[in-house]
Amino acid sequence: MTYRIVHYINQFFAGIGGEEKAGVGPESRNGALGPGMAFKAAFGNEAEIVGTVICGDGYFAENMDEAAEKILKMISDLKPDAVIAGPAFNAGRYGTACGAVSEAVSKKLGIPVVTGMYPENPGVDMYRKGIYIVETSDSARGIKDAVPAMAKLIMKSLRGELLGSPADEGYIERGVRVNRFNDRIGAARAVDMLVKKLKGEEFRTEYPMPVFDRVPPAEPIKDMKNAVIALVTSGGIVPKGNPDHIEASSASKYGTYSIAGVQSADEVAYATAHGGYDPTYANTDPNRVLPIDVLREMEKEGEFKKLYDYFFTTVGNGTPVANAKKFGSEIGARLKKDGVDAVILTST
Amino acid sequence: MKLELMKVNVKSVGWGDRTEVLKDGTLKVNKKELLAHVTDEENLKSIGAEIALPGESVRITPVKDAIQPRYKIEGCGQVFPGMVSDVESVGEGKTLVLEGAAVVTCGRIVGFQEGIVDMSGKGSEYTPFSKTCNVVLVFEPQEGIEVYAYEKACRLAGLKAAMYLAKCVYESGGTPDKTETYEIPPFTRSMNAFPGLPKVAYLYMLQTQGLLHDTYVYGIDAKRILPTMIHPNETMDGAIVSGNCVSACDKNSTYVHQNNPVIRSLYERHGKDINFVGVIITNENVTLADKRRSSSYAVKIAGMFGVDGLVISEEGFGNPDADLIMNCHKAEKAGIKTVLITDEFAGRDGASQSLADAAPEANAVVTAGNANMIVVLPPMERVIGFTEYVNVIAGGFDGSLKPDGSIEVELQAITGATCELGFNKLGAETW
Amino acid sequence: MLRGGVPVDLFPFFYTCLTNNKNLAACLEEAQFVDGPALSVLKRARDLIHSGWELEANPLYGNLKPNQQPYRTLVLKSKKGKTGLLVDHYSLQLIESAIAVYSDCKITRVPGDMPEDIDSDYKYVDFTLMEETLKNCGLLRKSLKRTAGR
Repeated sequence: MTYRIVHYINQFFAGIGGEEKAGVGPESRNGALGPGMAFKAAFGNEAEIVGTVICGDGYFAENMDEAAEKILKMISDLKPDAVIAGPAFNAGRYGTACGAVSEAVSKKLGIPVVTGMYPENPGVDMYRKGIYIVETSDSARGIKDAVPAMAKLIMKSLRGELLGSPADEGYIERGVRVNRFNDRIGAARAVDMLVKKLKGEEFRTEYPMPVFDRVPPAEPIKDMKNAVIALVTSGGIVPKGNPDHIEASSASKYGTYSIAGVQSADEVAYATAHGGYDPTYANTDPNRVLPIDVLREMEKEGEFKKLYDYFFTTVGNGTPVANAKKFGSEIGARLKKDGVDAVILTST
Repeated sequence: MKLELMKVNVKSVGWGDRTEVLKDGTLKVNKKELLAHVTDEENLKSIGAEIALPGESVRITPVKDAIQPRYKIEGCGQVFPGMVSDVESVGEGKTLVLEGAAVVTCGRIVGFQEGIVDMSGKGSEYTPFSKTCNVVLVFEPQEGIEVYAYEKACRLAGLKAAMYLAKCVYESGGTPDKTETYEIPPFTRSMNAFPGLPKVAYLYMLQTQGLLHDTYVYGIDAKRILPTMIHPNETMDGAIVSGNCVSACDKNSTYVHQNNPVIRSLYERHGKDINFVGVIITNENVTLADKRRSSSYAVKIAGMFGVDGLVISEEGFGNPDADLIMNCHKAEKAGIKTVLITDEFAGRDGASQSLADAAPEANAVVTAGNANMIVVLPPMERVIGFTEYVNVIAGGFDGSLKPDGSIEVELQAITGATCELGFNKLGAETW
Repeated sequence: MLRGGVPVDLFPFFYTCLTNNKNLAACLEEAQFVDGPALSVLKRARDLIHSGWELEANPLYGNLKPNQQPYRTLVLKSKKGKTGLLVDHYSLQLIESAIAVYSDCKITRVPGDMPEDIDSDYKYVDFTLMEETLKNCGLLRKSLKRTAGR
């Protein structure tokens, strides 16, 4: 029998357009499109792509729940046996969309699904535990390797074969522990490992410790009355219109905006750019995420000396850890230079 | 100190008129005599004895402890010092071992008392005691005795039985099939032996949190000790005995204390790529001050030995993880390289964090497997013990015990399945 | 008072006990009883830790897992005369780890969800594990007894 596959891709790979078309909503087309053609070749007679569901990366990022629901319906209407998404390579919003769609398919339709991403794609950390993400290179040039790997994995799943280790099957480590019998007892493995460690030879730990990025907290403020306080947010509050185009997810930048003379983050001048939560309440009163109004009151009453003239903002939604670290260091350096004593950091 | 283990191979067990090992390797046991030897009317209302052999369709539950029959035939003291023998120091001379046999104790101490040993089927793959020929003692407590007293009575009865079996075999003229020699001389010689080889010691963490979570050294509750040195041979004579039953998978039975695989493995490499200088025992108390005291003290002893490397094994999960990481951190800081042996509680899907504590210095870890993994144990023809509490068995859950007698349970409930001494071949990988 | 040294107070700490174990609470001079699952006890302890209290014992004592043992008993201490502004980081780390372990667990036992006989066994084991600590902190008024032969 020929398996029915549905392919999920974004507006770029569907040939609709680039970033300027990222806002297009979900749509369904018959047959294969774009990279689907390469999959068609990889599947041969065993499977066919009966339909392709497309969605703009920007639209998905800004309407995650609603878009996922619509896309899921379009997919299930095509009655597939399995779904493939992407590959998204290192595109953050595309990876997040592929991950979210794949997880929804797996949970709600209960059929095999495979996607492909570069390991640093934020979609990997968010979705790796629940779905199979084939490891790809960081750009579309890697398509010639990604397609056969993804095709092989989905065919195995369709045939009901048990999937092996990440190394064997080419998927990114999901972070789940699986019991396996060794050929030697644990104690012998331990002494062996110690001998290697003592000799300075390479050894492989059987349980990599989780990495806790611990930052020692600073001392509390002793003299609050003379302190300069700054506001920083990852809740995505920006001047209305989002002049610097901070992305709704996988933000590649942060914004610096003056609030000199501003008494409140009112809904006329401000809005949220964050795609990861329902924006209604934040847009009705942005002070809920960026509490300029309350801080101005406290400043007037002399609770602290001064509210710093600028606020820093980004969207903390699928932010690659490396970016978050970079933003934090840069913002911190600037605040320190300008004599800020403490920061109120709001997140959502 | 030199100890020779004289191992008599036991291939099967059966009841008979005389307790002895026949030429074909069958251990014959005089049931009446055995029961008379372990009787304790004050505390135990009844003691039953049954036999469970590898491959049989038999399930033993709830398992308290497993003990290997041993009897000291030459040298100071006697096995299980401070428990069923005099407190004299052991570890030298000659000790008879019934290799391939075990005494398994079974009794309901508290309602959720757990531990399953299946002699065949899926479950048998995970417990060391499906491979031993077991003499199973089933206890019932006397009316009105305290739980503490009952636990102690069960513990002592098991040790008595183990010693009795080995003693009878010796007295009936049983000859060993194999002799193993273990020797580490006094420090003046051992420290200078094998120049050029790194000095390695074993930091042996003992479970010591309270009732059903205790370990005894020469009869002393290890909760009360300061970390100290012990000669590895002493463990072979039963100096360390288990009072721990929770949870079944990573509790160290007396059997594994007697057959400590880390000690065996270190002896195997001794003189070849390491100089095995000694063993340090330490505890896993609940109070934070005790933990800090013990970890600093134990690492200080290791420093006094001048070791280059330390193998550290723990017993239990959660609270002991804090001790394990503390010991590792302090040792590494003191310039001692460590390897840790632990098990994991990564959840049924393997996706949760395996240990309750972590440190970047713990970069060399051996795992005994994820204890939350679910296994389905097929129904067994015969059950020794009590099954009504399987649903409550640690690792079991409502609906665990199916109408057909099969049990869907976490590995946690299987005795010795993820022994953190590294007794088994089980491990885990990240997929 | 040591001459030339730091004054040593014989009893430098206040101790408090948080527990959802009724039988244990009845054995103490005074205890803060938390009516709810183990997680509630841990969260209440976290609040106290943020106010300056420190953990006396590890919250993950005992080898029964969150899906088996409904009872949790925590002992915390606070230095006399010191108002807590500084949080003890190790206590915070321990309590957050414990909360993570309990939150991660899909099945949770609640006090009283087992037949009385077995529930009492859980209460008893919880007591025996914390008995030593409670005694050393001067919180224990009487011991809890339980018979095996029933």
